[in-house]
Amino acid sequence: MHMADALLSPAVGGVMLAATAGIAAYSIKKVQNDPDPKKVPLMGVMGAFVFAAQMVNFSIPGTGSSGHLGGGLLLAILLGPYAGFLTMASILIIQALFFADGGLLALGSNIFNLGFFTCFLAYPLIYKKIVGKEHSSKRILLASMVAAVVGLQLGAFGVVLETFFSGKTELPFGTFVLLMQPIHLAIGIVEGLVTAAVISFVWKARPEILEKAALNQTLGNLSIKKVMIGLAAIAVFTGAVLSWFASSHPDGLEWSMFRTSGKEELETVNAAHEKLAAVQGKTAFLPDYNFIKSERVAPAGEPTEDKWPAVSAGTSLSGLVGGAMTLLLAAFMGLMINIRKRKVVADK
Amino acid sequence: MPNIINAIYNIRQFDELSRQISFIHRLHPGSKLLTVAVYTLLLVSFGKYDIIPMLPFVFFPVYILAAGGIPLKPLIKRLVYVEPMIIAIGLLNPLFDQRTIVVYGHEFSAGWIISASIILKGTLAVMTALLLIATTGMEDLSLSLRRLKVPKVFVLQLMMTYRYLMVLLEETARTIQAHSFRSLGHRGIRKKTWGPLLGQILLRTFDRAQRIHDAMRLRGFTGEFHVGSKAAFGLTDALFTLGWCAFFILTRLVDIPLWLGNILTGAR
Repeated sequence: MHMADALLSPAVGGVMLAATAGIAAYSIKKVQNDPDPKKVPLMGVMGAFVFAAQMVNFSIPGTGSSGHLGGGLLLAILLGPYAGFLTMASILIIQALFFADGGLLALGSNIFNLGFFTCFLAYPLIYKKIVGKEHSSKRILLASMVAAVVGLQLGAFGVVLETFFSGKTELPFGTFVLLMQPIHLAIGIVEGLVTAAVISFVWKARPEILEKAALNQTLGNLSIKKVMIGLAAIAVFTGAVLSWFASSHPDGLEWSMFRTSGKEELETVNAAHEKLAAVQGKTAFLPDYNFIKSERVAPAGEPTEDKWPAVSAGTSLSGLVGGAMTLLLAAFMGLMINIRKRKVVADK
Repeated sequence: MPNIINAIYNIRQFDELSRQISFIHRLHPGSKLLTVAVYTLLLVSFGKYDIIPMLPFVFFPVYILAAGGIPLKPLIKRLVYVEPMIIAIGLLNPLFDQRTIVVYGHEFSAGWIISASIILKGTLAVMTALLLIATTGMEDLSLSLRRLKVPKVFVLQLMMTYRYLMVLLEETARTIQAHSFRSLGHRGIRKKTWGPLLGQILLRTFDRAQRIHDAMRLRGFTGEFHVGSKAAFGLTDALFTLGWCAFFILTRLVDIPLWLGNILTGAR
C-alpha cells in the first residue's frame, strides 16, 4: 500500500523525506563512482520496465485471483542496492505525479517503505546470503520468497508506524497492524514468486547479466551502522525543525495515545513528547498559542476537562456559514477566471 | 491489459495538458514546485478535526484549474482510482471513535469528522500534485530539480525512466496481447509463463539500454543534458509563489471561514 498525504503529519512526512533524501544522496555517490558508463541508461530503462511490469496481471494458481509485481527486489538484484533504490525512487516519483499514488509529501515515506527495506535490508541480508555464490533455481526461489516477504512486511509495518505517529486517524495501532501485515504476506509471496520466476529465466538465458550484477553491486564497505547513525541524525534534526508544525495541534498524537493505549506506554510517549516540546519551545517561531487562539473559540458551557478539538468549539453557526461561503467564493473565482479567459479569446 | 492501456492514455493526456499555453504554464517550474510543496506541507499540518478552517485551501487548486485551463474530467478520473484507499481508511474511523461532538446543536460522530477531514485532505493533496504535472510537464520539472541542485545522475535517470515509459508500456502491452491471443481467453498470466514472459521483455530491455547508451555516446553525450526552455526565475514567478504562500500561511493561522461567518451572521 502506498502511504498517503492525508494520513501524514508534516513532522513524520518531513523526517521520512529527509531520511530518503539522505539515502538517495549516498546512493547517488555510489552510482557516480560506478565504473560502468552504461549504468544510468540501464537504470532509466529498467525503471520504465518495472513500471510496465507492475501492470501485468499474474494468475495466482489455485485462487482464481491475480497479483502484481512491485519490483523493488528485482531492481536490487539486477542493478544492485544503490541503483535499485534510485530507480525505485524514480518510479514512485512518476507514479505520485501522474497517477496520484500517495502525494508529494508522502513520497519520502513511500520511497523508504518500498525501496529502503528491500534494497538495503532484504536484498543484502537475506537474498544474497541465501543465494550465495552459486545460483540455482531452488536457491533463487527460496531467497526471493524470503526476501520479498520480509521486505514487504517491513514496508507495511512502516506504513502502520508512519500513520500511527502522524496521529491523523483513530485506527487503533493493533487493528491497523492486523489489517496490513496479513495482506502484505500474500502480496509478498506473489512478489517473491514472480521475482524468482524472472530471475531464474534471466539466469538460464543470460547468466552473465546476473554474474555481472553480483560482481558490481557488493555492498562493499558500507557499514549498516554508519547508515543507521546517519539516518538517525537526519531524523532528529528534521524532527526538531518540523515539530512546530506537528505539535501545533496538541490533540494529535498525545491525545490519540490517551485514548488508544495503556497508561505506561502513554507515560513514556508523553515524556518523549514533552522533551520534544521543550526543544520545540526553543525552536518554534510560531508558538503554539497562536494556533490555539485562532481555532479554539470555546462557547460557554463547553466541558473544559475534555480537550475537545477545533470542530466542536470553533464551528458554531459562523463556522458553517463561513465554510459554505468559502467554497462558494472559490467556485465563483474559478467561474470568473473562465469567463474572463473566454472573453479574451473571443476578443482576439 | 486495460491497466496498461489506461496508463499509456493517462501519461499521454497529462503530457499534452502540460504543453498548453497559459499564465500558469508559463510560470517557472521551480516557482510552481515550491508553491505546491508549501501548500502540501501546510495542508497536512491541519489537525484531524479541522475541516472548515481547511476549506480556503480549495482556492489554490480551483485557481490552477481555471487559470491553467485544465479540464476537470481527467483529474476526477484519476481521483476515482486513488480515492478508495483514502476513503476506506477514513471510513474505518467512525468504527473506532464513536463519541459524538456537538456542532451547532447537532450531534456528529467524531469518527465521521475525522473521516471527512482525511478524505478532504487526501483529495486536495492529490489534486494539487496532479495539477502540478498537468501545468508543468516532466521535462521542466526535472530541469527545476536540476536547478535545485539535485545531482545530475538522479535527474538524468528520472528523465530516462519517463522517456522510456511509453516504449516499455507499449512493448509490454503488445506482449500481453500476443499472449492473450494464444491463451484462449484465460485471464492473467499462468504461473509457467511468468518467468519467460517478463524475462523476455527484460532481456530486450537490457539490449535496449545498451543501444541507447551507444547512441548517446555517438552523439557526444557527456552527462549534461539540455532540455526545457525556461528563462530565469522572474518577478511574476516570485510574486506567484510569495502571494500564494502568504495566503496559505494566513489560512493556517487564522480561521478565515469562521471570521467570514462571524461577519455574515453578525456574531461577536
